[in-house]
Amino acid sequence: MRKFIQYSFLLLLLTVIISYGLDRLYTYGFTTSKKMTRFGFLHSKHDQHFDYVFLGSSRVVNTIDPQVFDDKLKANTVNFGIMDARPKDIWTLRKLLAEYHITYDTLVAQVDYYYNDDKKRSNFLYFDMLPFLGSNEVINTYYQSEKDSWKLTYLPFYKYAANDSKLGLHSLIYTRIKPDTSILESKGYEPLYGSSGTWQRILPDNLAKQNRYMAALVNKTDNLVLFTAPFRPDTRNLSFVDSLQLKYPKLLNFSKAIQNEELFKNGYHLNDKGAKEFSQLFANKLSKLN
Amino acid sequence: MLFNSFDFLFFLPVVFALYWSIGSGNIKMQNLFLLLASYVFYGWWDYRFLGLIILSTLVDFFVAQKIEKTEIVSSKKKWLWVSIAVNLGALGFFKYYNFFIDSWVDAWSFFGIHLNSYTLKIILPVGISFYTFQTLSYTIDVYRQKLKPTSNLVNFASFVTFFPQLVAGPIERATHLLPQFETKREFNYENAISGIHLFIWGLFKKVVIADSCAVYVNAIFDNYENLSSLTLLLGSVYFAFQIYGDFSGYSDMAVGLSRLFGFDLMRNFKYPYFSRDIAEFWRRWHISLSTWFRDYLYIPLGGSRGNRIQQIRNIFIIFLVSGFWHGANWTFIIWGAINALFFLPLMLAKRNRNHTDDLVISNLKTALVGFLKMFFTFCITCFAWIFFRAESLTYALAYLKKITNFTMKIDYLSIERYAVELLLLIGLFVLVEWYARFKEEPISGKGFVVKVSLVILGILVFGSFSNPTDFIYFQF
Repeated sequence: MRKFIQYSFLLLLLTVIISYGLDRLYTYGFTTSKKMTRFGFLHSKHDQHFDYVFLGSSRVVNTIDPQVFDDKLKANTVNFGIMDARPKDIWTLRKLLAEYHITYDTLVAQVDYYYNDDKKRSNFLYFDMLPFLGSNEVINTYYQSEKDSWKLTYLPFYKYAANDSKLGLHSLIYTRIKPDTSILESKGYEPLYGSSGTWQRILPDNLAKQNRYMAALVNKTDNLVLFTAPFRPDTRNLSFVDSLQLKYPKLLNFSKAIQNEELFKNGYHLNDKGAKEFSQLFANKLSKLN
Repeated sequence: MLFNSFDFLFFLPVVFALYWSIGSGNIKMQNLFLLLASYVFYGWWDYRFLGLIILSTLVDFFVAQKIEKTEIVSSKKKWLWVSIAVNLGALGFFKYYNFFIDSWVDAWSFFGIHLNSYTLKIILPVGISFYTFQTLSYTIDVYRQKLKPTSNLVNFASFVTFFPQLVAGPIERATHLLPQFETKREFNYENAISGIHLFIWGLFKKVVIADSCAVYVNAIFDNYENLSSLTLLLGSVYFAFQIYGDFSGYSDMAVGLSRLFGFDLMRNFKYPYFSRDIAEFWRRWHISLSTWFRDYLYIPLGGSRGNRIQQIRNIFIIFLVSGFWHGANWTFIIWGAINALFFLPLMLAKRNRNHTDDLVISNLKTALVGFLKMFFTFCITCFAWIFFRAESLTYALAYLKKITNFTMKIDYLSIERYAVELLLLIGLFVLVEWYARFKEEPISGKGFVVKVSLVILGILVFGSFSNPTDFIYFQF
């Protein structure tokens, strides 16, 4: 039996060593990848200063063209939006700006129907940031509410194995051999094209009493501007944004600012033409605020 | 509880440590402990169905006692029928009730008579097909006087519920497994090591081969209307490896685990895709079920004795019943019928026992002929697997029709991992199995520490963990 226990421990040790080695290899591979993820884009801007920093979901990623703001306001603007971001993600990104010493004159954050989401988070940020887990407290805190948080944090290689469809060997190889830095040139803007989407948006009936992440963002951020990006006119329950306006009287409400349906890719995302038109409109508004 | 789950990672060492700490001299306590552990293992899925296992256990335990005690043959037979009725009754109700009702209604509607369908929402208890067959083997063997019934209920219950093979086999014979519960079990280092290696290799087959293939099999079978012939062929090949990796992986893990506890289970798979004809395939695939049907159905029916008509009838019965055992769907029955049709010419030509040994390559000609036969057998097996995997007969026929369009491009499947690259992995797997075909698994032997490290590395790097799928045979 003793010999068997020794062999079992050897196997366990081998598994731990292999897992640890793979964990280091994958972490190095993903964190130094030339294929820029949206989180990687933010990470690459450490110690830089911007006049305007935009945070939000795909309604920022696909809607805010920093070049338009730069031209109009003679400013340095960046779009740090994250697909499918929720208030938890926005608050995390805001804390990461401080962590990476990314400074700004004005932080512009999107707020709309996702105000009611106090528990969900973006899968995109989840996957993008996972290789960086353990690198700072902000990121560690982000994963603390996951069901398998202790495994993600303490079991070597678990975070890659459990998410192998996004962070497996295939992704690792592709991130190394297929560099993609287009996000750097566009400063975070990812345009959508066409106007065929029929996806209609129905906003919630009621506004939640509070969102702890939005509350933290508002209370702990200087020079914060909140805004709601345009919805296609057929969106239902647009009065939800009025309730938001009551909660945040300084909210810049652009929910009805674009009426031409041809400028929308779908119910709540502008296409490239619409995004450029809206960015002009927004830049004008900001110039007046200043 | 799945063998490839975190829960099991904690369950196994605890059960192993407690089991051996009881001491091999105390069989009674060891068996009682195994019984409790097996109930916990099974109850982890759904504790409500424990009642069904306990019922089956009690019925067969007492029926066997009755068969033994009575001297009158007709009484013995009566008691045997009680066991058969209870076991097959439970199996029939949980597994086949809705199928029979639907088929009955469909049959009448064919003649223009529309009946109301009274189907029920029945949940299939995991492993019911396996443990009912295992307990049936006990009462039948007692009836045939091949086995003395046990007077120890704990031993018998432990035999019925032995957790390594409870939910997906191998279906053990009472004559083989039950005596092991009644004799002293010593810890054997060599056995335990081979058990661990077998378990690791089974885990590799499950999480690397089966689960990786499953992602593409699902994508291809769910969208077959829009895919090319070549992709659909690839889908059937992937499914062949999915089901092989899944089921033989589970069997390897079960056999490996049982060795850790001092038990010896029968081998359930013997590299079936290296078979040179369909008869050899069925001697290498799901051996415990094939031999069960052979001993308890085929031979009592007359086997290969009798005239041609009887022989053909017996072959069809065994294959159709085997198909039906897999599930309440016409697809499984047709799958069985196709295999019967493949088997029949060999049997009629008395060539069904041509290949009872492993292929030994002595020269180029034997190699070439052997490989061609293997390739042909694999192709016809893949053809039959399409029916096994399809949701309905219409679906299977449409899938086959789409293959005959002969569009040869490989479609891009928008799944994040790898598509055609999976074939390379399968190729490597086949190569490893080919070189290990005279052994039980490829890890043991010279340089096993290096080999086991490579397999662990393979499991971690190539394993499909984000899309865990249940073992396919759990649904049977």
